[in-house]
Amino acid sequence: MDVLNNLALGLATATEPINLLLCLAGVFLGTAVGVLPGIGPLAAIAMLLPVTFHLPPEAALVMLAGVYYGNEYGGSIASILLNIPGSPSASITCLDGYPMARAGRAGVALFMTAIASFAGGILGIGIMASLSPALAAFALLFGPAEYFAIMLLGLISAAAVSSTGAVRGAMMVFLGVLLGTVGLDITSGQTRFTGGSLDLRDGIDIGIVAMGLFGVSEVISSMRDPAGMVLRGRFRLADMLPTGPEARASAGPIARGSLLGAVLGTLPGTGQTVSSFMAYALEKKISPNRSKFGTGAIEGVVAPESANNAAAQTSFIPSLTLGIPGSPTMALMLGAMMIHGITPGPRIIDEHPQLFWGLVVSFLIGNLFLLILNIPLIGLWVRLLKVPGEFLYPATVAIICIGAYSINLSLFDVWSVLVFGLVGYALRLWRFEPAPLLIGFVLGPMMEEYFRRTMLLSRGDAMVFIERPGAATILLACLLLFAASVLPFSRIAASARRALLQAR
Amino acid sequence: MHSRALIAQAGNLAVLCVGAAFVLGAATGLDLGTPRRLGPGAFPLMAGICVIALALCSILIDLRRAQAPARADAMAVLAVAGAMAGFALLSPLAGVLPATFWAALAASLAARRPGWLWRLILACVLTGLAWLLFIRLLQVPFIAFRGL
Repeated sequence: MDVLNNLALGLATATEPINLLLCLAGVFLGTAVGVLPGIGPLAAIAMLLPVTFHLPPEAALVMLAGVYYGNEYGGSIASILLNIPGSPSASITCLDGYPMARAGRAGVALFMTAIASFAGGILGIGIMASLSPALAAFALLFGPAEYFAIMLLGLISAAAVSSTGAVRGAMMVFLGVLLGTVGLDITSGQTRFTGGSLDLRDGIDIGIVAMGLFGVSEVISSMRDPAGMVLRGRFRLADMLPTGPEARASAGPIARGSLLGAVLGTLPGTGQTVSSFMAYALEKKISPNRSKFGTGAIEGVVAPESANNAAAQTSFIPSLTLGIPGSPTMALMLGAMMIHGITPGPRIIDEHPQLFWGLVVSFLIGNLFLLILNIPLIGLWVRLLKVPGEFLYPATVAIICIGAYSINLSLFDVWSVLVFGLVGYALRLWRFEPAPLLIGFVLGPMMEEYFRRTMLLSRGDAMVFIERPGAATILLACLLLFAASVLPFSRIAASARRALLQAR
Repeated sequence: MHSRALIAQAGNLAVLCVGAAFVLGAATGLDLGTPRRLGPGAFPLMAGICVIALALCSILIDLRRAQAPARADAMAVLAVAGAMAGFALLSPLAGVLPATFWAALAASLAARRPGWLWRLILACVLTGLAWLLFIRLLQVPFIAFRGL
């Protein structure tokens, strides 16, 4: 009954004309920003922050939140159409979304992404509305050892999904972890592996790695490809609808991905990226179509998309109820709240119910807007693929150059994107996948922080990872997942069956 | 035969060398600390050892089923590298918009379609769109034309 009253309060707040308008503006802007490489939600929210000073706090947060989760959808568009992930969590969508686009099924990929994102968002909102205090308490149970373990699980998942084999995938993951150590060590203040360069002092920007490894290398690979993309004559509504078997095959992955994302989203910092990779890894393990993953399987698109959108909603739980921002973007949103005199923390639901429940209902409305806005635009995005390659790829190169330069107004970043692009192309030639490298790069620094914190708290006793049941369970899952990916269980089982038959 | 096997393993060997470089850099140039207070070199050392171990495993696996790398497209590499390098060099000299023009023009040189007119028109259109989107709409503080 309480939840219903709260939702009614939230509905009254969220449906005020100003809040509706700002929600629409936020999701539209977030989607647009997500498509452009180099301009992430952090830049968009930072630019909008001064505008929000003059707005009521609910309106300010509704708009900024719209930018945040709208950006997830925009990042998926770039992943599917251009193989350039707009965010780390969208990089897994490249694996199957881009092959679908190349096979002339970009409309289906974008449509199902919209549906999966909506479904994931709704489940995340439902969980947020009903279980916020419980999930906040759950997040508090996680100590540094558990955070380290869950991130390691995310890395192993990324290795396990690699179509070139778990060993090569793991190699890329740890190479990404190494790249993430370049720059300033927060704990000691010492610079690492910078070669004395001031430009590398702050480390390598994630946008640079993504644009180089995915964008530039893809342009080099495809720009003179005589096969090109398969383009149908006219794009019709039917071209974006999945087939019956595809629709049926998507239901399970969407449900599982949404649940996984909703739970993992409550862990600050890890939620979206880890959940999208784990959702993909899970589906790849259990799907009857697992051989199609990496070549355009619809399950490989909908699972991570539902997971990262569910996580995008529930990532507000630790931020609002515990005051723990999981990312720089979330930190900026909390800053916006504090500017309006609202202190995030355990009492926010009681002290500012209008804000909290208004935000929850606005997420629902925002996800509806995303669906309504983006489905009609699918035809427009797909028509982008009709642009001949000789026009599209130079445009992509120009956008990447400007996008890279716009991050810090530093030409060092442009050179870095070029270097990563050439490295990414070389990785492709030797059949290495770049997606695991990206996740290693993102999670590596956080893993290091939690690992060092764990060792400090345990006074140097590494057995703490076994003694804490949560960490031990997750580490065991890591081991089993890696073993399942590396060892040829089907061949071992077949040999065992043959031996048994011979023994009889 | 040996050179072909070496080329096939070049990727694994390159990753091995990168891992070794990080291990060497961490062990010799950074403080490893103590088990309780790990230094800045400890984590890169551990990650580097993992990379070396995995690279060795990959080399062993690939010894049985070595596959030559795919053929590189030199024209595409040169066009994209020239475009991006030109952008980086021209921006401080002439401004972002001339650099964008160069980037679009140079990248289009890789296309199989002949002709210069379409390339010049494409570069002009993309430069105009870049001005509209980044400078006008997003208000990114670029210098459009240096000296103006």
